[in-house]
Amino acid sequence: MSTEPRATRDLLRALAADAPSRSALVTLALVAGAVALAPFVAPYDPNAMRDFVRDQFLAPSWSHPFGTDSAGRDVLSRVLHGGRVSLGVATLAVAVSVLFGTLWGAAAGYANRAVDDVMMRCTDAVMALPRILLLILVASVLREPTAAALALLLGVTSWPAMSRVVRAEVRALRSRDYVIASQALGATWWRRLRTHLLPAVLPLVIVNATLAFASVIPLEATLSFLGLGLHPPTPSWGNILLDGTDQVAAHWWLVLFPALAIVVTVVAVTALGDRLQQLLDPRGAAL
Amino acid sequence: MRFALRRAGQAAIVIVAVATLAFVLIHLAPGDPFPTALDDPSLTDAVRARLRAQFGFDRPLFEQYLRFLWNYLRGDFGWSVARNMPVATAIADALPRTVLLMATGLVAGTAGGVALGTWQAARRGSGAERLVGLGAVVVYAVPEFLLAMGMIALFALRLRWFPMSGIVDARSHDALGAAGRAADVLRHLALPAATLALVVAASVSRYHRAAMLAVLPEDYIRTARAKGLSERDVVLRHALPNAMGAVLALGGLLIPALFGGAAVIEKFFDWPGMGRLMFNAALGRDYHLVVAGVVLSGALVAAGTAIADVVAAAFDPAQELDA
Repeated sequence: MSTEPRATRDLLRALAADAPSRSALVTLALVAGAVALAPFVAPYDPNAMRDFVRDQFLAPSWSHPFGTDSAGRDVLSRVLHGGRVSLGVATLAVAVSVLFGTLWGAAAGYANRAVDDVMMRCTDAVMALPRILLLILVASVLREPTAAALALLLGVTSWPAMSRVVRAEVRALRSRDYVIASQALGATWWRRLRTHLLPAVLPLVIVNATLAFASVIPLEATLSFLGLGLHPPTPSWGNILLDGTDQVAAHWWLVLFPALAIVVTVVAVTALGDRLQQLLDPRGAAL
Repeated sequence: MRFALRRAGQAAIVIVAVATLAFVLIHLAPGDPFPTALDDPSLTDAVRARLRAQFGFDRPLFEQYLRFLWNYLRGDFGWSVARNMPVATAIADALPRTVLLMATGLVAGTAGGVALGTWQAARRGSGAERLVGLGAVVVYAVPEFLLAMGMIALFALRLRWFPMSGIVDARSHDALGAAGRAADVLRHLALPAATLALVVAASVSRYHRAAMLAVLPEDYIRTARAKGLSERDVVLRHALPNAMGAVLALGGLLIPALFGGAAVIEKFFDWPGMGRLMFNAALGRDYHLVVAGVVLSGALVAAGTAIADVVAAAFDPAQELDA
């Protein structure tokens, strides 16, 4: 990982200059906008059960662009409202992971050798657990988690990567001449943190948050799909898919559209994350 | 050697930490970590108290913790209520099947990913290369369960090339000879292993391509070209071996994800390994089994990561400094 401090502004400017990243950003903005405005954009109530005989399993048409499901509910409206939940959970999870990972990593980076060792072994232990198994363990304890609980859970299982990166950067920086010099000149620890450490750490945090976001969305979908995450009537991309799988052979739209929503979002976020990482560390690229 | 020993020591500490984490998580939950048996409303309080005493839940938490660690050291992982058998027995049945699935997926996926990444680096920027790169990102981004659904829909339901679930054919398996049985298992292995291999190949090809692109501008590659070697020899004999260290290092990072991916894939293909065992245990609140599964996979991952680090360090001694 590069230890050259690079300004966050440069990073974002470089991103905007790059055509594939721009289209990824636009895609994300469209998805996020549609999902955030779901109550206004969605053509129907996502949970309204309507006439079973007349409205069940309607193929995609102008009045139902994504078709209807077994209860006659509009799939487009469900995908939009489900996205609110799925992306909301993912955002909250990443926020938790950024907060916890940055604090833990910065503390370990500042601490003396022994404390740092203990803290990093804890990080290793969390990293050694396959996340899905850890989530299964906790989900089995929680029974039916709420969206907030699930977000917290996904967040506290994704901080280790973040904390390792932050720790490495802080450790490398704190022995740099200019940081030592500012200390010698009497700068408080808060000032050193604000003027020297945070600007250097922020780009790394942004990259990691992007990658974490890309990994949390499929994870939430998987858990909800397996019945260990969010339960109906709260729609999420995962449990909309779960609803649709039984009838996928005859009614393909029940699975295709929620699946596309996940894939398009995650591909766009992944592409952004990859590009950011490349910009930050051109030689190490994806390593 | 000293590095290997230190890495082994770290792995041991991580395993104890994983066990502690699992113990704490289970005991954070309200009630006893054994609710299915103790929640039964027909039990009298006296019976309930006796059961609690029998399983040691009436002891101070710290004593329970030490007892738990000691039991694990002795290889006693507790009792699976749902399956009514020792946890160790249930795991002993499931583990080899998971190892078979993971090993096949890992080897096929790594080989495929390295081949793909090498080809991509050599043909950098061509239309076909970009298409493959996009395909890799999509496979990487898609949740494993969607990939599994796609594989089942295409190869099991539409083309009918492979069976869609299970590990053997329940009707004919017992009547088959030894070779026929092995072939039966392999036929059932094909789809879940291919799905896992796809997941692995998508990650490996991305990393390997980047590693190759980092190596190709080096001076010794220019020298190799200058002395008249064919581009094929330059890529395969000079660049490839030097880029392999990155893939080996990735092996360590990939193992936890591989474990998780295998668990989801097992669930979908009804492959009776650790993943399916764990999901069913979690849904049935079979806590001893869940905890044992978590600790065991944590231990395997810690050991696997340590081995991958040591192997990678053997390839590239500079990495020892980072650890």
